[in-house]
Amino acid sequence: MNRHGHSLTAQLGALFAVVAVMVFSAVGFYLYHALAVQLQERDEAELVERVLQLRHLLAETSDAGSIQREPHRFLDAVDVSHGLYLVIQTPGGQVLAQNTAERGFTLAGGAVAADVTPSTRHVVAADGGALQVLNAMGRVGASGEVVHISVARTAHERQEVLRAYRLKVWIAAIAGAMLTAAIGYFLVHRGLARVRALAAQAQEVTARNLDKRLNADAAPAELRQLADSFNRVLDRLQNSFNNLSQFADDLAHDLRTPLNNLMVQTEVVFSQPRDIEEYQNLLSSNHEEFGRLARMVESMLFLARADHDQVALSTERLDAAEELGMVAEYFEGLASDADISLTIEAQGEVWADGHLLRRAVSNLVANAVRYTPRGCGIVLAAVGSGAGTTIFVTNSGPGIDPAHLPRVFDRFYRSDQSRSSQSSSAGLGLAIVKSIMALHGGHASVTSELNGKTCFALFFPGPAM
Amino acid sequence: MRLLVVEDEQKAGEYLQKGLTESGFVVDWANNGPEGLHAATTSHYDLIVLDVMLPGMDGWQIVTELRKTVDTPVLFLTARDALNDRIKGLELGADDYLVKPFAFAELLVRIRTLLRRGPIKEPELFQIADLELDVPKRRVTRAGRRIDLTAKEFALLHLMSKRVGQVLSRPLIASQVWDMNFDSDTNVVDVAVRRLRAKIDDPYTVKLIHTIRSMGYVLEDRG
Repeated sequence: MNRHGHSLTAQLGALFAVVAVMVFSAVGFYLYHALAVQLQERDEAELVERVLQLRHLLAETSDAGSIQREPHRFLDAVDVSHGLYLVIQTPGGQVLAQNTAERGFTLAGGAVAADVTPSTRHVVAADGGALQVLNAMGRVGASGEVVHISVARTAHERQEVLRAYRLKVWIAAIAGAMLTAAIGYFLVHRGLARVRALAAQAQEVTARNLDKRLNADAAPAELRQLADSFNRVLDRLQNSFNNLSQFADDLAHDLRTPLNNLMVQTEVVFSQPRDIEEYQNLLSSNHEEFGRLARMVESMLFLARADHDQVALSTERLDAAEELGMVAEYFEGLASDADISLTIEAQGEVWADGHLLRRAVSNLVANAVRYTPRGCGIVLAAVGSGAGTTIFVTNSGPGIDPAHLPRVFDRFYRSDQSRSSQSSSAGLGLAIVKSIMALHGGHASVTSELNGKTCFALFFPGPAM
Repeated sequence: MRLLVVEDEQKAGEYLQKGLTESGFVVDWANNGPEGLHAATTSHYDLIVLDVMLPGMDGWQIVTELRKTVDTPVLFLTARDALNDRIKGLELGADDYLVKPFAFAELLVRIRTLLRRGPIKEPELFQIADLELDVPKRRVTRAGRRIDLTAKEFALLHLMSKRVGQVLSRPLIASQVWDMNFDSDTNVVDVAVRRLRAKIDDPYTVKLIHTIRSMGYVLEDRG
């Protein structure tokens, strides 16, 4: 799978994981600090408590010497097993009681007066461990002597708690992140199931079953538009595909007929010696078939180019009556031979390419002459409106079966199959009319009543504003 | 008049040489590009008929090279008729452009038009046998008798008179007389010629308009 862009599911899963790691870390960091602060405050409060307790004991003591004699009274007040240390000394530096000869710590700064709330400071003990020390003054009750009290607590226990806590926070953050990522992945995967269902539906569409469509209603709202567009693309594709295969079928059929004539009649003539006139007849007949083939190729090329807008259009303002008059003059002889009258009822202008307009109208008139009974007429009319000009070619005749009406402009479509051999390129004539109208940005339409009037209408839009 | 035909396809070359020779031209035939260019630059020709798709060197390259030294008229023959191809051919210095398949009569008309260098003054009076055509007065008489023609009948006769002895194809007639530049499968031209004949030939023993099978019509005095 070498594709640009990774799986949306994996991307969203990873994104969830990153967000989870960030959120859990932030929360863990906050909780850790809150705990650290709380623990420190607890320790301080305990040291203060001990100092107050010692001051109380000192108040009940007769003199500094009795401290030295009975240090246990004081030392028991602090519990060494809980990491508490005590030094009581005279202002001169003589130690009266201590439980920490081996640890030893300095008195950082001066002692705090008895009536002042003591505060702690951190010092580093002689053995390198961190200590929280509280220095305070005490007064021996009976003698009123001043002594310095130092109570200390190792940070060891607190740090142990914090270390354990930190580990738990890390584990929780990582596990939480992984869990979130997994859940996110799972949810996104499930959410995208409908997208995969759409893709699977789309995959089923092949040239053989172009009629399949995506179920847009089942698609998520965000994708409904995409599904609808995809379906419309399929509609157009199917339409073109059908037209193309129909066109290829018809083309093969329409080429076979003249080719067959050419081959068979030539073979028949050559099957035995004949006089010159027969050879001449053959060549002449062959030439007629060649002409049909050449016209068919020209028509198809024109249609193919028109489809791709490769026909150069030189649109100009034309006098409608004049253009229709040219077409009428062209068919004058043919029509009067068939005892058909050609009438023009036109005025105003039409915005079109003159050659293409005449070609379109000629194709319509050629058809009309073919189908109009003797004694009837063909009317060429032009009616202007705000949007443009419509040219009507109306004739009386047998009319077009309503069943055929929607398809008369299709390529190779013949409402009257029996005429196919008679008028070779008639199957493309109306298709060319339709193409010419499309090139002009207009349209061709037809109305017909059986044994009544048949009217082809060509709408040419006016000049673009 | 000497013509050079540059055409690689055997059949096409043969029939062009044969047809043009029979129409009174001296025709040389080169069947590839370099040979064609060599012939065109070393000998004198009055006109070159040039196929576009040629082995070795295509028609466009030949005409580009050719225009550096000579200005012999060049008529392009090609199966490619996209508008851009036509424009390209004419821009490179080709004088005319004919798309395959074409009518042989059409080719003859184009060649003769190109050979008639420069604008020529069109005569105002034509006389073919006892048929007389006065263009400014739009008057036609035969054996001294006035013949009434419609405007298009007159235009048709005028066209045929200008090209006396030349075969005119149906598409050429449709294009020149009615300005219909597409090949339709109606027999409009045949009907028009028949109507013209009814007026200028039918009442007389000597016929002037002749049908050339498969090719078209010609006006000439064969008496």
